[in-house]
Amino acid sequence: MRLMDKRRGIPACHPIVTRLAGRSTTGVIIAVVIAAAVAAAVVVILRSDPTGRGGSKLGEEFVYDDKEYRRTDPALVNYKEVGRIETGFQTVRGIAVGGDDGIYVAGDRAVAVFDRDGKDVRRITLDDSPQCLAVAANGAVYVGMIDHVEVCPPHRRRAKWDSLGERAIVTSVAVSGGNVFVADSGNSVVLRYDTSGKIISRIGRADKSKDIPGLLVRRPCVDVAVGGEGVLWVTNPGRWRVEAYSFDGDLKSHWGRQSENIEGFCGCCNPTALVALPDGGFVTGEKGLPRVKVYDDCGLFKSVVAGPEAFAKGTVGLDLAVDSQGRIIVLDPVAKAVRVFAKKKDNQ
Amino acid sequence: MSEQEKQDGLTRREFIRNGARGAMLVGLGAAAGGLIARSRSGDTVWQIDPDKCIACGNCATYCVLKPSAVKCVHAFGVCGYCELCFGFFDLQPAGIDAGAENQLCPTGAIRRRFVEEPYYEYKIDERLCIGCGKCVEGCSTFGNSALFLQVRHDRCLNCNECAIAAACPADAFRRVPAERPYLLKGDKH
Ligand code: SF4
Ligand code: SF4
Ligand code: SF4
Repeated sequence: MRLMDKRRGIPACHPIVTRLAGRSTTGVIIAVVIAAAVAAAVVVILRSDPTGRGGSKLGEEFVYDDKEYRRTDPALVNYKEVGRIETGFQTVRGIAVGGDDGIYVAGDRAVAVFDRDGKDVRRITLDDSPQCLAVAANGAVYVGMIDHVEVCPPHRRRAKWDSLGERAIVTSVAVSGGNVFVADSGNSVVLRYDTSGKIISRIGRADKSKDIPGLLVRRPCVDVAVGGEGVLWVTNPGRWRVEAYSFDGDLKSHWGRQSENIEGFCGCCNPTALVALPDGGFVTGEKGLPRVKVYDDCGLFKSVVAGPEAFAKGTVGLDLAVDSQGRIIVLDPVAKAVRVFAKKKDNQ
Repeated sequence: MSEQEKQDGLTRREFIRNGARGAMLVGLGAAAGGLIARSRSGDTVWQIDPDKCIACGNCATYCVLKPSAVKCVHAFGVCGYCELCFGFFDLQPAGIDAGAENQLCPTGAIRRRFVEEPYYEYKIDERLCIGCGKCVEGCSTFGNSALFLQVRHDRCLNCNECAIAAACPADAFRRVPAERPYLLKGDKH
């Protein structure tokens, strides 16, 4: 029996049939090759990631992992946020609390004054950008500009003190009685002025004869706060400590140490903000791991006001104040807002 | 600090600060000089805006060159010369010395030299740097942001479509004039 090619009606062994069969085998092979190429191209396209959405795919050793330090043990957080004031500034620099718990914020080219409930009360306009400020008991506002201080008394003419020179970077002002203390981070020194703008003494310079190692300032962030009994507290950020000086510049004591752990001060230079509490304790602010913490009068860690979770990553330049009710007032430079923290009640 | 590190040290920090900053600019300047010679006026090249870069790691793996044309750069004028440098050391180093186990850079590309108590100078070995940005993140998180990434024009092919620019999540790549191909920290740009 002869096998027939039914479709074409000719014997299957006819040369034309075998030629056609050979062609269709080639066609199948070509089709398979094309399909494989298309599939491979699809896989390549799917696996390639021109938009970078899949990440770098670098190994773990290339990942900077500081997650562990960005989490705060909730048991250590003794404060909660109870209020927030939007400053309306593009840039905020410094905060202070004045009489009647008025909140003074230095930002852009002005000082904004809010009452304790956050109501915008008034604005003091300035010719340049303020860096920091302090409010005296008589209501005079001492504004630290980049290289000098300007005094804005409530009902008198403003005064502009002499420039501290090209290198000066004024980062903090504190007032106590007839003394005005000005931290000049650019020159690594704190100046003690009288209220007329005359320099009385220089504090924090290295002096071997007095056993003073000196302020170590890698980034302009020296802060000052006046404590009880004629003590000036000065942050020495490059040495991760807070130092107590007499008003004449003698170093009396210090506390603080470097550590990423919650008890210490993190990074290359901290703390960057300081408040002296009426009970002798302190509130500190840090950069790197932005955190606000409370220490007792011996410099022992007590609790956390706000940990890194409360701030945007990369927050630098927190400033602090405290009001008569013990509320911690935090100036958040990323949120451009004043954030008010109060102690939690026992059951909170 | 080891005795060797002390002996290698210089005594005038200001000298190092100014001189080294000059050195960085001369180094990048030389590369820029070669680029200018190759480029016509009005030409542009790719560069990273260090203020936008979030050190995501993509610069190390998306460049068509292996290793990447992106390298870490150190702005000496911005650096704090910290003994405890967070671009150089692991977050919790076992010791504050240059032992490999204490170093942050996975390729060992950062060199440190004692300047004077308590200051150190840091330099990048570009043959080892792959542009991963790990040190950049450490320095910007805890330090002065003196370390940052730049496309190095002595090797970049100036692709029409830069593969990293397309993959950059921070939109940090931009075209800059070939005559001024670097965007340096500490300089206004
Ligand atoms: S891809 Fe963009 S964000 Fe990521 S490291 Fe490079 S420049 Fe920085
Ligand atoms: S950590 Fe990464 S970017 Fe930094 S020097 Fe090392 S290889 Fe270069
Ligand atoms: S232009 Fe090309 S060679 Fe240059 S950094 Fe981008 S991908 Fe790499």
